[in-house]
Amino acid sequence: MSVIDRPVWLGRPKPVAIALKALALVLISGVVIFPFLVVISTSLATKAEIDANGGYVLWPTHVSFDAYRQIFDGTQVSRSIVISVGVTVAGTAFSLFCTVLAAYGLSRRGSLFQRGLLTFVLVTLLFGPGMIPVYLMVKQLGMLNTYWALIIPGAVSAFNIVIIRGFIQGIPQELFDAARMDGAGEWRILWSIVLPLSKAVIAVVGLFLAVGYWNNYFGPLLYLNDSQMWPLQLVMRSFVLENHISSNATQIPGQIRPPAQSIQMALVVIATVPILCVYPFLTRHMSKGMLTGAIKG
Amino acid sequence: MTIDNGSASRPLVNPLSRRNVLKGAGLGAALAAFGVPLAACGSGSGSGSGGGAAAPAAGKSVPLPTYVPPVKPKPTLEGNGQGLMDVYDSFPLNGPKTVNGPVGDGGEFNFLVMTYGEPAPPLEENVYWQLLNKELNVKVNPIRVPFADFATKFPAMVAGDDLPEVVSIPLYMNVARLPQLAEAQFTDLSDHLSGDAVKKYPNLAGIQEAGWLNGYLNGRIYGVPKSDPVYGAGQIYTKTDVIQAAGANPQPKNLAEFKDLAKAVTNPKAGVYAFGGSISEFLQMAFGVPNKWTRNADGSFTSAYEHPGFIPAIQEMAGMYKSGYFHPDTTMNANQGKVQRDALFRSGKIAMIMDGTRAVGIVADDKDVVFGLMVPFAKDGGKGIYWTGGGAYAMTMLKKTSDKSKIERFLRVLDYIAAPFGSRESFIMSYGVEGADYTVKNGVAVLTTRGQREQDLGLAYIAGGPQVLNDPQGAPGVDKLNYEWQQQVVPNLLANPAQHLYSQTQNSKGAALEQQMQDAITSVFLGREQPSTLAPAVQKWKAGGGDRMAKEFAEAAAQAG
Repeated sequence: MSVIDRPVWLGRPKPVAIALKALALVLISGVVIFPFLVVISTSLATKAEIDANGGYVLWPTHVSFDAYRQIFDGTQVSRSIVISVGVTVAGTAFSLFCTVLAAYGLSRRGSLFQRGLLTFVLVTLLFGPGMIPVYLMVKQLGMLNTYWALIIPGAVSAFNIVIIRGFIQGIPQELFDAARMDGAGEWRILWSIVLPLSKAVIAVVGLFLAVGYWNNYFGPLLYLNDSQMWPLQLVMRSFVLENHISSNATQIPGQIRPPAQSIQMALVVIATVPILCVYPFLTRHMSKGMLTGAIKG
Repeated sequence: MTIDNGSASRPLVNPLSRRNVLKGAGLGAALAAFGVPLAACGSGSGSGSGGGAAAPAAGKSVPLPTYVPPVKPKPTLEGNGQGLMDVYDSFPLNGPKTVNGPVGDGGEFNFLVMTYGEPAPPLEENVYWQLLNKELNVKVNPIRVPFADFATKFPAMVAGDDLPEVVSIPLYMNVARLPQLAEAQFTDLSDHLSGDAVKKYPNLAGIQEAGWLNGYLNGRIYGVPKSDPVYGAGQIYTKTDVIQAAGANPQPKNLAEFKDLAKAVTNPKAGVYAFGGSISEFLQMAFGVPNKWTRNADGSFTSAYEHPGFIPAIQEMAGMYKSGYFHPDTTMNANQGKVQRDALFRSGKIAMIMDGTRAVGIVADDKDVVFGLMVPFAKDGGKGIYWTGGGAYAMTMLKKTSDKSKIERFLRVLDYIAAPFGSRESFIMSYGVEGADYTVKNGVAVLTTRGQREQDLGLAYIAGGPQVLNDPQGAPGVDKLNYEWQQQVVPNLLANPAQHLYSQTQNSKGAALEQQMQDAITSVFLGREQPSTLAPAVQKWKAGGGDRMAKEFAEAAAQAG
């Protein structure tokens, strides 16, 4: 922070304090960056280097993309990425739609059965349905071996409803009153007042949902029998398990297969990059949300 | 025994080598994952008060299938019925046909199977799959489940009554109330397989008794096995170049020499340690500890934990740990961190690792690795015992039906899949379509990358007879090395007398009790607890269900005769 940016009430920091802060920031950054570095480096390392380093590499001397070739060459990974993106986008959109509607309805005092419905929603926070009952329900609804099974059962989460509802309740009542005086109905208020003011919380919840859909492997495992329908995480899991139990056992005669560690780390990179790409755009909204909250009232 | 595989980089190939190696190496890992009991087992569920003796009796006990040695090419090194595996120099390209007449009926063959690889390409892009459909005259539809997730998916499918027509159950999965489940959900195959009836399916008749015992429930035959080598996981692989460089003997004859070896090779400054992970089983065998249970002359059963050699064996391992012979980056559990442990072994940072017999493929693939196999020894010298496994790792069952044609079609398909090594059918199962899935180099079929990918349908896991050692592209001499090790071990194989007996307590509490004991062993091994704590741990294990298990096994054994 420059001198100009520093508030007038804040004194000039001492060099020691600055150094300590810098050290702390470097350490924290290191803790965060180090695993990423090891993951990326190991995914690009050769077998000899991995063996020599006892399993993981901090900085590869010879860069090899064999692990990535192994993952994409003739496998179901490309197809599964398309499936995962589709499920994530559709699932997130559908979940946000349902969640925002539910949250808005439950945030308006006096709406029909508001208290009863709210209690009903909150109860689901305390008591999970269990794996087998959910499986049976999915089956009864005819969703087994369809992509709907990956979206519908987890589409609405009480936790997300509570978050968005809380945010909407924080919007000044005067805004709602003014809108009503101007003749706006509930849909217009939701669309023109609530949603624009709730961008931040919707971005946060959207991120939660997207990460959940992207990382979901348990649902596909249970509900999809056709492996051609598997999303990325389940295909990845097959790779990870295959390479977890044996490092060289999958060798093809006459070919040098990348080491298991490289493949595992390359999988981590592939699975993580999309989320990392989306995250910075959403943090901007989250910052806005915090500022909005700070100056309200 | 030592091998220097310095000139080739190829895998241990028995016909299904890739999967088999994975299977062997991953058994322990999968075992840890399969602790979830099954919830639903149909109306036949018993009260839980009995073991095999109390399991529901579906009918009169039937004899096991008659063994008829399979038609096979003459091996390079002949095996035997005790577990010594045949060795073949190469896979015959034009082997004998063992299946005659139509196999399937053009219908669907939906099967649930646990697999170790990534999903195969879809049917329209998969010439191997298309060939199998044509050969079997069925539409093969696998429901593949990654091995670590089978215990999650299987109960849900049972609860939803969604099991496909054919179900392959990995035997290391602890399926709750298996006999009751079999009786309620699956077809009794006894009339088609018992005694001489099996001769109608010659390749199934070539499966040995040790395999069939796994599908023999309530005195009836419910499952067709996928046979496994008889050796349990307690084999020591030695990095002989490291050992020889340290001036030590890679084949100790007794415990004292073994400890000398460990001391000689350990060099913390160079980052070299004698062991990576537990060697508990190996030491227990050296101390003469029986294979899980002993059946006494009066018919009662005694746990191996009560054997006088058990605590001293763990105490020895703890002493070696205290002496610094174990690599600090390896864990107690042989399967946790296995990839890292294997890497350390290959790079010479670990001189000895304990693993399953087929893990030899892991090191045999690496041309630069010099390794050997340690023959087990008795503590004070002489031949050491070696524990056997269960004889099969999966059994395949047919959903309950009284339709004779369905049953016969199921058995014909499995008969094809169980074709012995060297047969035409086995070759097709192992290699697929020439040009696309494999090429022939110097008279040896070599899988292509495409062939490797296309084979992950899971069919190879659902039926099979004795396996062989066949590694034409692997490290020179690796099969012979393994064969010679087996020759020395086979006479001293020790079976678990409770292996094929059913105990309800074992079924419901066995995994938790075993974990309790393993935790106690780990605590002593790592020096957190004194060896004296093991005796109370054994008493706790007995009181918690061990004694009940012994009683149930004794009852089941008496009933089985």
